[in-house]
Amino acid sequence: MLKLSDCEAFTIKFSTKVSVLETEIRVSESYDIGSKESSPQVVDVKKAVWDTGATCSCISQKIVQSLNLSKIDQVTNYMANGTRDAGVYLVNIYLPNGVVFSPIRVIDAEILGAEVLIGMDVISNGDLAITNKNGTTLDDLSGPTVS
Amino acid sequence: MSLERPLAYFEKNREKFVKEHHGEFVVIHGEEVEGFYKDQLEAYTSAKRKYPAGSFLLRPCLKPEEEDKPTFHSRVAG
Repeated sequence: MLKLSDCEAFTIKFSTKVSVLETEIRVSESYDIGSKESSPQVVDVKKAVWDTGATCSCISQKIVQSLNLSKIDQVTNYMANGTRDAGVYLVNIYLPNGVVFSPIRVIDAEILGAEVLIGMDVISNGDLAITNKNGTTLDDLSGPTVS
Repeated sequence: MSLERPLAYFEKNREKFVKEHHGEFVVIHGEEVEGFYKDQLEAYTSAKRKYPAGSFLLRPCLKPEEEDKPTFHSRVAG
């Protein structure tokens, strides 16, 4: 995995104070980005929600189908309203600043109002800071982590 | 394609896998272990070359209590 320590920081500045942290990202089937093999298809995702209440990242069934992803495992999800079995897929997640998380085990899920949910499996690779000075939200994920 | 057989095989042999390959990733096709890998992406790439998509299990060799349990406190509906 390319870690945040390799690239210092990822910052998003919103024009207003926001209640949901959303970014554009890209997703592909997982592959070694340093290899000479041809890269797989990549999809642009307009809405990825950063969710500290999720222990792992999720993608929609639409993305699973768009990338023709194959299930590599299945797990039980624990949600507020019960449990659900879901497929596990291996993907690369590309942040707007070029940071790549690879490989990431994601599950398929119905995500309200978004195509991807970025969970703590990704977020915990760095230090997440949210500030709301002057009525605008600043979301910053930086690495390496500091004590 | 179903992962039923490799999943059942994993559970049947989990204790042995964990004892001998704790933390490594195992690839199982049917009831056959393709291999154990320290690198998940290497395991995935190797399995894809050998087996049809969706026919193999790729899972870390961990005790049940060590496994991540995907938990969602918001947004994800059943």
